[in-house]
Amino acid sequence: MDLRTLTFLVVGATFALYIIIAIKSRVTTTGEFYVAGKGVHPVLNGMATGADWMSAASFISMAGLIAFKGYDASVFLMGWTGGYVLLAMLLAPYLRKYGKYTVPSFIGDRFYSRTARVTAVLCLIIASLTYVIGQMKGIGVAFSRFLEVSFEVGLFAGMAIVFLYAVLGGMKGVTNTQIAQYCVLIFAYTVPAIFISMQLTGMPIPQLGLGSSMTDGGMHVLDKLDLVLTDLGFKEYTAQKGGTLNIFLYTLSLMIGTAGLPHVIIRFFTVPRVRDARSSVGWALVFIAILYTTAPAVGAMARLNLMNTIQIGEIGSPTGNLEYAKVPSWFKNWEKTGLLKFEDKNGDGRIQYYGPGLKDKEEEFGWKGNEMIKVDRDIMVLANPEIANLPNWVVALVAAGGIAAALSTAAGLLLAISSSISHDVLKGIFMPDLTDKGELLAGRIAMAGAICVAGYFGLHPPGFAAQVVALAFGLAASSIFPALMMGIFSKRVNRTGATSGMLCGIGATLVYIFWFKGWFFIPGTEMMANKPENWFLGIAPEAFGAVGAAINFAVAFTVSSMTPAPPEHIQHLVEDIRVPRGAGGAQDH
Amino acid sequence: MLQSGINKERLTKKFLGSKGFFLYYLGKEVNFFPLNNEKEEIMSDAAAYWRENIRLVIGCIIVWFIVSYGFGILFVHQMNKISIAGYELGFWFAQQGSIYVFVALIFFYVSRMNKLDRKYNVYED
Repeated sequence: MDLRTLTFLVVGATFALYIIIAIKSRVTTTGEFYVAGKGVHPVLNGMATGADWMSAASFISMAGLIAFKGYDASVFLMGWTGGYVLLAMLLAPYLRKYGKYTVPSFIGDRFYSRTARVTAVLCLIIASLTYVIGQMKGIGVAFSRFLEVSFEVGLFAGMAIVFLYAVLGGMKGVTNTQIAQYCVLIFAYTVPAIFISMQLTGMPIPQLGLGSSMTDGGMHVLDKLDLVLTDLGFKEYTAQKGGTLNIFLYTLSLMIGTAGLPHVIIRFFTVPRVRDARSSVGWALVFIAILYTTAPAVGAMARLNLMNTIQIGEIGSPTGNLEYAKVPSWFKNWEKTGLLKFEDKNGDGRIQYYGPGLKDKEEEFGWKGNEMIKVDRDIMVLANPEIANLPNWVVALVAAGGIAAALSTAAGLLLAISSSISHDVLKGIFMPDLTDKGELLAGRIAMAGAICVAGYFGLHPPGFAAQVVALAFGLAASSIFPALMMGIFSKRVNRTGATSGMLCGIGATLVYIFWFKGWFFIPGTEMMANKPENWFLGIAPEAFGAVGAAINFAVAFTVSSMTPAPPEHIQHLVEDIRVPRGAGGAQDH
Repeated sequence: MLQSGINKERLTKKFLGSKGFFLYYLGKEVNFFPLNNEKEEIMSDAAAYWRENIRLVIGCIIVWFIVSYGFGILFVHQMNKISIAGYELGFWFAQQGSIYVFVALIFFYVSRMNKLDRKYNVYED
């Protein structure tokens, strides 16, 4: 069976599985699953959170960035896991105790202000929309490859499917479907990693394989990779390339952004008790950590395999490089998507792929520059099993996993955006007497609008999928997290302080991002080229969320100290959420 | 809260006289006139619970900071001089170790908080 048919079969089978589970568990859902006060078991909730959380950025994009950035991509690994520690200790138990509503309604109640609530909704929409743009990039990559069309066509196909998936809706909210999605996703991610780790080192556990020695030659994998890369004029894999301040703030932005993303936080409202909220965060991280500790092995080994595929012999010798006529089929297939580009600069019919370190040897070797003019980082995970010559069913499985990851998160975010617009903004503020039917219609229109916006930016993405998602985290970090934290840990921060803090935090972050990425991400409108030399103190736009959060805290405390303290009943509310006993029933989300 | 309790006692004494006040105290012993001092105890307990909670959280956050920002970022060069099992240690903390510690840290926090909940009698059944 050819790869394409097999992929359709596997993707189709997994989707059929999700739909069957969704329909089957819906019966029990209304009956018993979500009855107030009962809720979802923390381990299962953790697994469902894992599926919700791990999107195209984690599945498709992250290991590719690790493959090309090496140590510097650790920001994603630490940033997207360390946030769960903050979530478990600083937010989840208290928000669970408060229970009942959504994140903006907590902010609205705690800061006794409709303005604060609207501000929170606005911040949520901005962050979620940016997040969806990142997913669209991932979806476009996945669909373009498996339909064997250009990236643009793949993106349009993906948009249509996301819309259908989200409008059929509800599926997202069913915990059982998410548990199935998690199983497919983690299976699809770890199986090729185990195969490749076995091939290279004989060690089946990728986490250990990355530290093992190679079966050929006995060198450690990472030492070998460092050697291969430096020989070809690239920078050492394990060495630090970017500035320390930037790496520090990048990690911090992702961590506090994780703790401030509403679609993750609301998952912890569904557990029965406050202590379950704490342990459920722990379980979520366990399930996420399985993928996140595998990713470094996937990245490093994919890079090593890629380099060895192209550089088949001694560097500089006439037959040392792969002939273009003999490239494997994955190479040709990715070329069709436009995400991989080769140009025979010196006309020898062979591929030279090397870094700036070999510039002074070009003349001696008869090379005219790096001929792999485009290697989109987001293709690495999907191409990885093919590069390693794994069986077709593994390749198809990875496709199914990647599409599941991207679709589930994109659909979830779109639902969150559309319900914020229709429920919090339209019904809550502008049209209080909107009927349920009208609300649903408004939600659908908002969703279609959000998909079109996200699709448009997906065509000209402001970065690789994981980087765009990182921007979304920075926006959440600079607005929602500080407001929630101050709401729980300070009785003094009042409505004026919190609102102005959120506005200044997200405002500063947005301006900084737009300054380098173009206003509203429109290409060509950037004020300065997005280069480390231009960045303020060397801080990348993706890393600025941490600075935005600091601005948020500072503004909120200063303004609060100059304006009256919150009324007494609010101070009692804060005291009340700090004690677990007496939490109300679990909420269905 | 305390102030109002004293006032109540003083007022009772004033109205009932010394004999009546004795009866009042007797009544309090058998909870004849529930004086509702419970709330006061909950308040101070809540404060102590919160203090211990904060201390635990700060401890955990310090560990969280050291393994990721310390070992993985700020001191990565020094840590990388040590090599264990094919990994440079700083690189290992940045890409593997910190994640394992994060998981352990949350479960440590969960078990300590459950103990704390029981100690202050706010554990949920």
